Amino acid sequence: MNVPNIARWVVFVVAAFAMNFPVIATLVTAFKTPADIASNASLIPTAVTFENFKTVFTVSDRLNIWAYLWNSLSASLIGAILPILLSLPLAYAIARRDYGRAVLLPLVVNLRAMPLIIFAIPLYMMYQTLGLLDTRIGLGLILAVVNLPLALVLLVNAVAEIPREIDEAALMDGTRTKRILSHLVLPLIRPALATTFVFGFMTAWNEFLFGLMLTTRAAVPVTVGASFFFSAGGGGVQWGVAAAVIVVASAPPVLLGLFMYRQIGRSMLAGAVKG
Amino acid sequence: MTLSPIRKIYFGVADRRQMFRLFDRHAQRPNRWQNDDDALFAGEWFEIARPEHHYMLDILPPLWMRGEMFALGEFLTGSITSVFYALRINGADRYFHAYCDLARSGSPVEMRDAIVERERFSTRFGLLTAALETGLGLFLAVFLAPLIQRRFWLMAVLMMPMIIAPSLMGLMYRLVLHEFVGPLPYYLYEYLGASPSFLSPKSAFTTLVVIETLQWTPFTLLLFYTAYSTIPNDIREAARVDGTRGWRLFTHIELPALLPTLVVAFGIRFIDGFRVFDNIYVLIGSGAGGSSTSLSIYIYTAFFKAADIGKALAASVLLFIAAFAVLWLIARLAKRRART
Repeated sequence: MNVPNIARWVVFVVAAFAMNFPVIATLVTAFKTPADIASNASLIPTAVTFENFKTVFTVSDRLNIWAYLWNSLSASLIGAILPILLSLPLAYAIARRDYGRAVLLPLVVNLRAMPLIIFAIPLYMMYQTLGLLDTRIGLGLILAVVNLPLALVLLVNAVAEIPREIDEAALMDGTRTKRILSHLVLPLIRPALATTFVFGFMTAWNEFLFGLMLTTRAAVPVTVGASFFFSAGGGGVQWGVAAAVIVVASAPPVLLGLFMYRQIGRSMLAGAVKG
Repeated sequence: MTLSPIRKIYFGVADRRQMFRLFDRHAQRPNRWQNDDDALFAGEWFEIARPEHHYMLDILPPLWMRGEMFALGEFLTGSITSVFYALRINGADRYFHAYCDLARSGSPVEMRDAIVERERFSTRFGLLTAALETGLGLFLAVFLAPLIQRRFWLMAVLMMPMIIAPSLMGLMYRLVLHEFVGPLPYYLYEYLGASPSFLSPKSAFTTLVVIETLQWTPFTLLLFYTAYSTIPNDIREAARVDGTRGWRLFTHIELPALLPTLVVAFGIRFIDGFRVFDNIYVLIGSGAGGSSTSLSIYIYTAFFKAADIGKALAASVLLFIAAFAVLWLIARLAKRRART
């Protein structure tokens, strides 16, 4: 349409500002002094302080941000790596031999669109019996299940993009399937593996529901731990500290996102559309 | 988590036996101290059936009766009394019981508004946010496409709200909307002289719709942008040669090509609106006036707060069926599109 570019820029700036308004506000508040927060709610601080971050990183008997970060990190790593290991052989079988393409693939992929809370109660009971409640491994396993459908879709697409001739040639030479998978397919789909890993890690890190339900003290992830800072201190919320903890908790996925936005955008769509 | 003053305490329609048990629900509570019942009871409500509503109207002369509600002349403690409602919600007649504090003159009306709001929430929320997100996403994608084509990093800026955990986003909005430290009320006071209380029962719904829309429009935007950039340029050029330009080019050439994406985007966002959990839970718990209790929150509260496994599981199955139906529908629509 024949609209001057300046109009498009105005719309972009307005949209970007409106969508990111809470992010900006939180970032600003995290650097405000308590006095400033109490008297000046605007987006321009009168003085800049790092005191809030110092408070966040100080360990107290009730709040321990390091433990929350460690829980999130270890559970997210399990939740990002395990689905790749599990779905890689299956992806190869689906893409090359059409095993499970008719029923299994749509079934697994549609699972992704199911509200997670449906599985919450059976899982809670199962975990209670198995002693996995409030453990990092337990949380990681669930996050792996959450990530599995998308990992499968991304890897099936990646394997399907490799020209069939390449592995047919290898088969002719008498190479075994296992070796084809590890020496031929694996190196070729490395970019897809990276995307799957990053996106899985972000999804796992951002998960809230299972963190809230399946952990109480020992394995609390940072998304849940961050909300503890809101109720801490007794005398109402210390907003500077609360803002700082949000910044800390969302920094890893945001940094990953800023570096890999192309891949992430693509995988967000893959999970949504192919379902 | 602040406890909302008005809350639904029973899911489903209570029959007569359940109703009488619910009237007396706090009697068995251990460590109950004297005269604290008002704080416990006031604001609680549940749904009853038509015969129960009429039965309660018949057995005792009501204290007062105004149109759709009547109060019983029997006081629980102090000024807390039973109020019964007959309300028309989404085209169906439904009946409710609530404990209201008559010392506050507006409380029966507030209660009524809260009930109506709450009962309409899930579907209305899903439909409204899905429609807004689809419309806005489509507009932004098409309008900003010339900019984004040259500089894709602009997309990263717009994608930011999706990358941050929805629960943390919820916390951020709590900060933004806070009446003393939030910048939004500050600027509204500064320039308009007044600021609404965003999370009151009256405006909670609107606030949540706006937040959900702002947070998920990036997703539909990304979806539409990708679909838009896969429209072959030849088609556009052919149309231009024939003299089709501007608005006509959009409505006759580009929009039909984006139609499948439109259906998919709406479907996905509707399911998501249906299952919102993180955001709302962090923002206001189960809500101002219970006005934001979506099914997900209900399941969580029923299981973990009220230890009512049966109800929570029943709601889980319901949600599963609803999600499955929508998925099935999308799959069918997508297949039909692919065939034609």
